[in-house]
Amino acid sequence: MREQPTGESLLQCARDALKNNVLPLLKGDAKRDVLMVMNAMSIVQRELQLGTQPDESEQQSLAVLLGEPVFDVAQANRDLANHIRSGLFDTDQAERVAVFKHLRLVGQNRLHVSNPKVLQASKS
Amino acid sequence: MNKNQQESLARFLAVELAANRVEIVNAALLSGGAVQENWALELQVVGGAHSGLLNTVLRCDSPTAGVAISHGRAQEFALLQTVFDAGVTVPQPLCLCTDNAVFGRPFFVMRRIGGTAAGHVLVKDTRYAPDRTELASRLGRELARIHSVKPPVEELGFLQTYTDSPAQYRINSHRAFLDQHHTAYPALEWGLRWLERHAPERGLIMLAHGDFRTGNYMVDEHGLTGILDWEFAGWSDPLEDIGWFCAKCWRFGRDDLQAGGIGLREHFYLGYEAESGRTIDRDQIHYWEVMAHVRWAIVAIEQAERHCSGQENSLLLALTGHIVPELEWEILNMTEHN
Repeated sequence: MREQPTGESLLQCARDALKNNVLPLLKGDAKRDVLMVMNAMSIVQRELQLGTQPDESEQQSLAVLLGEPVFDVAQANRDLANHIRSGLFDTDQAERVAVFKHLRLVGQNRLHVSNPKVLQASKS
Repeated sequence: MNKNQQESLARFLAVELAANRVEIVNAALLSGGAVQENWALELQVVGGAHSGLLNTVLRCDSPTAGVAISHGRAQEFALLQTVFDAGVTVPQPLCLCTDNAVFGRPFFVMRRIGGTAAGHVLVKDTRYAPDRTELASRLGRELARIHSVKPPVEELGFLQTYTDSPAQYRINSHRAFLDQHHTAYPALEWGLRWLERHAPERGLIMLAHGDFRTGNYMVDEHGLTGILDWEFAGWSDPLEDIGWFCAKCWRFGRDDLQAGGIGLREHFYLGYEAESGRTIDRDQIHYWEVMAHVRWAIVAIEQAERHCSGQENSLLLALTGHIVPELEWEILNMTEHN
């Protein structure tokens, strides 16, 4: 059993306290630093919310793309990087589309953590 | 800066400025980093061409910096002198000292310029450089003057030369970085492959600033006061600087103002063309904007690694790593259809 509130909602609460009680008192470098701290807290919060789902989706997508089960995601990414660099996907249109779709999916997963605003902007 | 240093410095400056006497009225540390220090020096000069009150900045290696980078100041001074002579608006370089007996470390002194460089402020606050058409055009003219410096230049012998096309040279060095990094970046590889397939041949080679963008020049309420941050200067295709300046990742949120978030592309281009007498091939700029995003992503990974490796505990560096997905997303957007 873990104590309530969860880490995720504790972060939200702490961030709100910074935003509402501390930030208005600050100027210049101190304000910039607290904005950076709040940004870092948001990133962690989104990472907690998403859990292992992004890793699983990356692993599955890599397996489909490479046509074999993937046990080591880091190694699979190295393989994919090498294939791209060597020009393996330069000519076959269907393969190009498949690689591009994979890169979009993984990119989207990472943006959900690092900066989801970018995804909202590209939808509108 | 202790009294001995000040006295020794004052004597050195009197000789260099061909003055009868120099007095240091005030010395204040502007910024101290792991690598460099900047001191604001207010000088009272008696006699010679600079007679009167002279506001300067002294730039030196930090006391803890290693020997390996002590060449840095001499090179930076040579660059500043070269572009100053070419008519670029930079803080006027005044003198260089590589004799450690004077100050304990190599340093150079330049005129102090005023204003702000902060990109996020500049794009919003039009009290700085209110005439943005003029600013965009002026920056175009300044860049053209930088590009008027062509190799070989004896004083710039320390800049790396290469026989590849500038595009391929960049691609190779980015790949070399990725090869020694612990994590693969397939989306950046995609971008690099696209850049390789579309790489322009080696054409004009000129002195490129290497980091010519909003945030690296200073403006006051009248307009531009100086181009800063020359540490990435090198020989390259002139279009590289133009693409870097206009790339979406350097607009500080002002995507409507495609010239560095401060003006219209066309005003920037026209200023450049008027000064250089060369027409910018507009179809080629897209290529260099893709290059800009790839390069910034590589730099962001490098900066984040400085934090992750334990070398330097810094929230700013740590957060820089989280810019990479956004840059990769833009690279995909820019390379989807060909």
